[in-house]
Amino acid sequence: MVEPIRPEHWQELIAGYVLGDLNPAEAEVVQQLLAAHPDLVGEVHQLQEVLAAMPYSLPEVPLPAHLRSAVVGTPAQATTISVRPQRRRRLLQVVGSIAAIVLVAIAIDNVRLRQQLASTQAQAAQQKDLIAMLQESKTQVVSLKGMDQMSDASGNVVITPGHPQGIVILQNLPALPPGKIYQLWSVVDGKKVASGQFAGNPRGNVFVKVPLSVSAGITGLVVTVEASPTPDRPTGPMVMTSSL
Amino acid sequence: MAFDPTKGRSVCPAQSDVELFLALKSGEQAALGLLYDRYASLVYRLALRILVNAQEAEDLTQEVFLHLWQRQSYVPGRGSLSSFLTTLTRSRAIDRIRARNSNVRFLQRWSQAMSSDSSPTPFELASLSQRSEYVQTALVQLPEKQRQVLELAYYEGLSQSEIAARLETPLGTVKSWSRQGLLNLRNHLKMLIE
Repeated sequence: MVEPIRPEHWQELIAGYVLGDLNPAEAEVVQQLLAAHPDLVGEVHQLQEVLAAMPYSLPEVPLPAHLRSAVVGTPAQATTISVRPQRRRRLLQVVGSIAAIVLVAIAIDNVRLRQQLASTQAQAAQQKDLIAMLQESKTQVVSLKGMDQMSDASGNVVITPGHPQGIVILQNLPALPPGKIYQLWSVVDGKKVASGQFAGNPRGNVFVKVPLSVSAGITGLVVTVEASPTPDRPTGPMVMTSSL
Repeated sequence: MAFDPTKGRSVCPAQSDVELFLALKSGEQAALGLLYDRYASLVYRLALRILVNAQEAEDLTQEVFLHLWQRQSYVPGRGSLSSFLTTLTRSRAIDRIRARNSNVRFLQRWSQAMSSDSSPTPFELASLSQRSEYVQTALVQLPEKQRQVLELAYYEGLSQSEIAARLETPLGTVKSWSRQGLLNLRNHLKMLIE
């Protein structure tokens, strides 16, 4: 069923492969082509890079100021600035240097203030979402309790039927070693479905939105400790549990 | 707010994407901030273009960077970090629009991409604003129909048959426009990506 194809059409088929618009017969031809000519894989890769570069043409839009702290978290350390020692021969230079240091100090202070403000704004936005959820009568608050060595950990998960996201609020969560992450699972018909990941802040508190929607079969929520990347099913120890 | 790799402002100035990613992987959390400063505007722009809603675009931007940090499914040998981020953002954004999860499809697609050579191309070495200029210039050189079809597929997540219906054009013609469009775009960027 596959007809021989002329090399000048190879490129077009490979473009179709990258765009995901091949019909089954064409897809078969491309599979054969790639198997017979491994150098064409480079071509595929290049076209994928070109397609993925399309968004660079979009007009710039201002980035919301509070987003950075939501992603990066509150930075623990300020940037270190090394001042190279120089011989100061004239008083003016000394005065200039002091002024520069003062300016840098003010700048660092401003950055800190902006970061604090952004972090506060992000927190306020999350709290607003939480209040909105709690105002709905169908919202459920499910308590989570720590197990074994994590018996101090406790908190709640707030979910609203029809909402694609839930909010996890926990306290006394031990810090995890690098590469490990807390994973929330919802138990649906006896199977565990991944429902978001989180890490505690340095004080062991968690306040995050997770992709968790209420479906008819949910019977419970479970938290495990997983290594990244997270597998499809829990493999790490179960540290918190709840029942609905 | 274009990032200029020659003017690092923080503890890891002027490090390449791959170096920063590897630092992040080894627990250097400050690297996440630098990668955010480099690519958040691109990720957010794309998310906003597809989702239209600013709050959803913010959530998705956050999700994409957390995915980069926690899942660590980016493999430097398989393509640039920039294309990983835009491909992930687009895939997640279109999933949200369609309200169905095709994360598996994205990972399959991503893992199909393979490159034996991971040395940075001139495109990757350029600043973000330069890259924008290159792609804008390349796109305006495409015939109008080719550009239109590529953008409909990329940003609206429309299938070729949906585009054919919308443009009242035969499916074969639409496929040819988009394939030729992508090949032409590559030709216009060729000097920068090899």
